[in-house]
Amino acid sequence: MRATVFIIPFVLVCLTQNGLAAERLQQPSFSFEQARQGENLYKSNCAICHENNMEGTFDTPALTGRFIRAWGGSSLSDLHHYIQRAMPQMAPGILSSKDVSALIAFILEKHGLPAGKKELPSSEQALQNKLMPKSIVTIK
Amino acid sequence: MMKRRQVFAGGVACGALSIPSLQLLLPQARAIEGSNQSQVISSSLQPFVARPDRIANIKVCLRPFRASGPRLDVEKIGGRTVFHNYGHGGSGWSLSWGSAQIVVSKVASAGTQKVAVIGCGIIGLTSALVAQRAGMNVTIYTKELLPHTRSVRANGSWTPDSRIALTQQAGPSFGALWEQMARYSWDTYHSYLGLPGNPIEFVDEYWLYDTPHRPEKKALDPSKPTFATVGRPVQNAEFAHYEEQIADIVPNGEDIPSGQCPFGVASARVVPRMIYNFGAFGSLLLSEFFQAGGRIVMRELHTPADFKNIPEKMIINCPGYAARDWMNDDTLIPVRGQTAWLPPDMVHRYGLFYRGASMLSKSDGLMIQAVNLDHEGEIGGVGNSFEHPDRTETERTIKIFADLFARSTKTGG
Repeated sequence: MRATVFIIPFVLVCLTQNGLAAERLQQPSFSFEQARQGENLYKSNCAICHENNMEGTFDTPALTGRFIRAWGGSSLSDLHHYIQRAMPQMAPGILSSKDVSALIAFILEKHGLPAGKKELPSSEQALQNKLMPKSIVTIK
Repeated sequence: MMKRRQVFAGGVACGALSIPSLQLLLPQARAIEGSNQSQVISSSLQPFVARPDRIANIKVCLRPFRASGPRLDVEKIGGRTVFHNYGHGGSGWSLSWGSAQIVVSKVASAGTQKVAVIGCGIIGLTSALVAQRAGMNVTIYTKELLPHTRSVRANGSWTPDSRIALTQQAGPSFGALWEQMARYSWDTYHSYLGLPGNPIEFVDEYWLYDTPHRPEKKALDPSKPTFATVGRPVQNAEFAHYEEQIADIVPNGEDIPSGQCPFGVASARVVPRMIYNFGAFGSLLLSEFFQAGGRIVMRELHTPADFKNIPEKMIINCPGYAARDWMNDDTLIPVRGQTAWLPPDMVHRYGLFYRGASMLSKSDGLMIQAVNLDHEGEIGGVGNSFEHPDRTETERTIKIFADLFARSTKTGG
């Protein structure tokens, strides 16, 4: 039996643009179809360097393990911004906002987050209050 | 400033140039005796094993090139004072100590005791050490340590004005700043010569040519586009070169008399080249840093807003090419470079440059690099951020040496 435990920090912070309203940070949700789209994009754009299993190489960072340590607890809008700006490194900027959200959905799925009904939004603003899980522990 | 090439107007330096390794290994090597030269020249430099099945590693680096030269300005971000130190093109290793000295001097003027350094490539590490030597308490925040940083994907040799800037965009004052950095670095590297494990050493590099006439640099063509017109370097003549400014300290090398050139080539020159052996040198620098009480925190920065999460108020920012990704710095232009490594060869300790292919025998390994295979010059690799090994490029490079050695054996050259 396999069980995966995620820890998302639930804290109250001001994240809206006018800085007045407080919002509860959320575990991100994404759809199965979105993750499949992300999987296809990953294969054609990312796997050449990060490898099919996302484990990376000596010179290319893995998208597992230390990736969670580096990005866990960060707003997905930061991750979305980074990927869209910097990746794929040989042709940064070729991925649309929708593509990047699909890729993030695939990465979240790869880490064991279950797909839901709602798609992960594409706009960085809508992603601001959604956090990368800070801790993923799989017991099997 | 007195220039050595003016002093030796005849173009041939007096005095002995010692090549002890060749004297030991090559019985046919002999001293050329003449009125103004005493140079050990080999007409039978031994070939190294140039075969693609010797490839042990291929590494790709992205040189962080900026048209105006390295970024050394200071700005306030998130309540922190950020002293930038990045964008040294293909000259990061060579200028590192001098660049660190300039930046640390600014930090010292700010009167701080504690300083943070972002990044632990060669620029971050030398910045941290120079800050410690100035009496500061240093913490490095970094995503990666040697040997995972991009720095160790370089070839590791003294190239202080390799894609360092464009002449026009850097402006007339940059030459003096460059010279300050180059001289300080050169002197600092010399303090690491002669140490156990040879972290820094010299090897003789042979530049080989098929004709007696060597290619000359072309002048800027006013009818063609330039960085000023299209926003990216287009012509090789745009790239800045300052090496003549330090000709009084960097060994000049000598032409090898025709008929005595290695491997039967028509024309050759031997130049003593300073090299950095990454394993020994990187390990030594990290040891120095820790022994002086330095601390390293493994941390990634994702946006400039992350500066506010660094506890120190003063920050030396040394992210290298990564500044383009997380600092949104579009002034950084990637320049792809690839090195391949054959097993270390302690017998054939020399360097070669021939038909755009380069070889340097280092304690890290026998380095093979396609420097200019397709006659593109310094434009080669500009704008290319494909950081994935291209084995074909390496095999082509090795073949140039293999063919040279095969021809040489046939002709008895």
